[in-house]
Amino acid sequence: MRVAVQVTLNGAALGNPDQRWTVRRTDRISFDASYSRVIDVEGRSEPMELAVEPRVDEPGNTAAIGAAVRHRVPWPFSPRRLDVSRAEFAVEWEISQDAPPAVASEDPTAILACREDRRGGVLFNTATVANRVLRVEVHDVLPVPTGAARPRRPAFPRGTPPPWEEDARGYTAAELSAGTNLNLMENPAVIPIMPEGVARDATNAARFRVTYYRPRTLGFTEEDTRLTWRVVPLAGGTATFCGRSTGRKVRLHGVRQGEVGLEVSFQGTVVAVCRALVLPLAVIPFRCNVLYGHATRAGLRPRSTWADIQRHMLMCNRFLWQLGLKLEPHPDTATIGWLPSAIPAANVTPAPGMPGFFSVTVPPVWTRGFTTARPAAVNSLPQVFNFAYVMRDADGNLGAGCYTRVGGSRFITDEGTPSTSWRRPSGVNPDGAARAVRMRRLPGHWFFRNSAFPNRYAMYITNGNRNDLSFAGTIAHELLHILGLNHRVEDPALLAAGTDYCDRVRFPPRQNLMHWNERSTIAQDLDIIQARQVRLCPLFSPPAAADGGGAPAPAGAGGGAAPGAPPARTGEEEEEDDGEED
Amino acid sequence: MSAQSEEAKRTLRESEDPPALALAAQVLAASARPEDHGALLDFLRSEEFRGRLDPPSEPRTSPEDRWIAKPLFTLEENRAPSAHAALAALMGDPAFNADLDCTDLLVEVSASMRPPSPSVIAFWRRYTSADSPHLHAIMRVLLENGDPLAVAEFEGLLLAAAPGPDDDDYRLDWLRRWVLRHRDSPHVLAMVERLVALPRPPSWTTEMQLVAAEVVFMHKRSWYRLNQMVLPPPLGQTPPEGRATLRRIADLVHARLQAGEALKEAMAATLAQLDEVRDASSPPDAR
Repeated sequence: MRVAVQVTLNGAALGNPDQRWTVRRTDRISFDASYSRVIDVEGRSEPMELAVEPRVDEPGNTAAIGAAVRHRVPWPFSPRRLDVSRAEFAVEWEISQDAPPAVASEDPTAILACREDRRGGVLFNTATVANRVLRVEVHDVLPVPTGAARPRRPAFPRGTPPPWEEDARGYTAAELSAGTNLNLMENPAVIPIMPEGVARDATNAARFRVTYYRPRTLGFTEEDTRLTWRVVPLAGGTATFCGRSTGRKVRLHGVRQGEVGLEVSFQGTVVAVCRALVLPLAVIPFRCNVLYGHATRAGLRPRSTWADIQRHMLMCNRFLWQLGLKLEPHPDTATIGWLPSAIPAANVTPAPGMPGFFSVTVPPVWTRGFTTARPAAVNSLPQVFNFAYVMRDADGNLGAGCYTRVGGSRFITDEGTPSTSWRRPSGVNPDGAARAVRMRRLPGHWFFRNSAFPNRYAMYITNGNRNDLSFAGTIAHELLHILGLNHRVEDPALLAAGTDYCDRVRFPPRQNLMHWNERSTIAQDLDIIQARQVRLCPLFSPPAAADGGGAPAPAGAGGGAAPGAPPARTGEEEEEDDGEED
Repeated sequence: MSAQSEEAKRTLRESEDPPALALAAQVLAASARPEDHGALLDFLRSEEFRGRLDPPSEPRTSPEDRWIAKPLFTLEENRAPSAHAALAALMGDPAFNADLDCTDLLVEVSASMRPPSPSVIAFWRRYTSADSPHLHAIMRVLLENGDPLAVAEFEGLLLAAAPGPDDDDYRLDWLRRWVLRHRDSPHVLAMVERLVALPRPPSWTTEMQLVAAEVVFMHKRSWYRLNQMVLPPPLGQTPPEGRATLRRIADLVHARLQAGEALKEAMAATLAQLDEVRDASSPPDAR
């Protein structure tokens, strides 16, 4: 059979269009050098697309052979072999580095960065002149998962020095409560764009760092010039470095909304990548009310002081910073929010010199032993997040978020390399190519019915939290339920009963803040797909004043950020979550 | 044992170390000797002792975290009548119950005090006013206790409840969580039969009767908040007496109430399953 093959790369034809091959079944065609192209991928963010259209070219028969191949390869463009199969034929092609970087030294122990992979994953391990390899990771889950969930790594030659990696531990309460900068947590899902008028400096930049490298004998320092970072715009996003762009640690500010890839290079070769969304910092205005059931009885007075609560909010904000969210006290101290008839307005007292903070004297059952969610709504305003510190509910919960209907589709999807949270296959060698990750949303639940509490977002927090870290973890966890996140890993009993609130991603096993019961010393991470979801919550898109009493838009010091929703696919399953109303 | 008791009493008199005090109190609580329970009761009634056991400087989190919970739970597990008598005595002690955590703990231990003595019933009644922070916990514990006297208390409180305009109707919560969780109990099912058959007092409406019927035949995720999922016991766990009651409830619903399609279907499905459920106590060849 005589065949002709039309090959284009990024729309440009390759090779000789008049060339023909005579082949038999299972024969192989090798394309010559005219089918190669040198492409400068420095700063390139558009996907590469190879198109291959074979056809029979015989007298009286010019039929196409199967469907044309259109192989789209998104960033990152790491050297690797790729293949696409059809029933009728298969195409194998390769991205390779055009010219090896110059070797700086003839030292036989020096490392020459190059890469090889045959699994379709993005590879950033490096082979060498002296039977050595280099592995560098910028993992987006911190603390990095351990045990069976730890990142898969290629085999290293015998005698390779051990790796460098920091302890796989979360931040301690002392670390989370010291200082005032919110950008404590590294490798966040979101690089925030600061509001206009806010100076961009090291205190509000997103911090990224290398989480692992081997061999440790390379001794990379925090400012090491051998490691260079570069921002690759994806989906319109851009970010700039705050200070240097070299070393084990860098800082970035968001510039334009979208997504970016971050490449880490060694000797001119990309050795690690990570990914982040670039989104405006979203300010959530809040009110905090402490509900006292008695003037003196300890059993009816939540123990948290104003200083305690401010510390909880600081620590919570450090968790939320990973998603580009920030809680700020609502400045209106004059307007009394919703109150039941059992609580007169005179019982609401603003905390001196602390806008947004109130003490409220309530009947005992409004702060202890209640089963309803209504204590959370005491003194609440529409579109202002309301916190109620109480003694305990009837079930002994640490806290509970009070949801309104969020609506929308049940799933949200994220695509990119590495996959969100490096869910396997992560796209990082030796994993195969990253696949789209689909997450089940929490589109609403009936603590509050919108008819009674329009546009209300609230939670209560109980004395059952034993320490500051527990308070902060509970607050962040419940708040994110309200913004539409399910549990990353769910209670096995509920899974068995089919009544679970699992987001179906199920990875990492312990480190995500939305784990159903993991301690806050470990469960601290939030990832890209969660960042996509939270921006869809109506809390960030206030309705018009005429729409059901949703009057005040978020104000706060941030001036009511309009963060917008990042690019996301949400339309796969459009049915509403059922079982909301009874 | 006696030497151990004496050593425990010395610790209780002299120590300032809460873990050591709790451990010593548990030694007396676990004892089979009534005099040890009497001695422990004296300590627990002492405000000075309670101050050493749970120093005010310790953060108050939940009642179960308090050191005093340990001897109370040990007394609960002790089958000796004097152990439960000590708990009953604490239930009648106003000073002890001035600490709301202590009352909460006594509510919890009352779940296993069967049959409930008059002093236990009096304790429940004392703390089930509409504005009591212990009301909802006691409603749960009454059905966990499960004794006919406790179930009767539950029924009386349910019928007397009149949620105010500011309240969610907490009767729904009681029915959908606690009745549903114990819908294999013949006593609970008998209560539901009465609730469905009852000539209606002012606050007990047809709608509530339907809810009472729903919770023994149905289970809906939408009844529960994210953090309070409740699972019903397997139908096969219901003893023959309870199964007969379920059939009578279904008959009552058909005869007296206008059930929706969902309830009708659930009743039909349950009755069909009942036909297949064999009495676990029946011999294998009995059919």
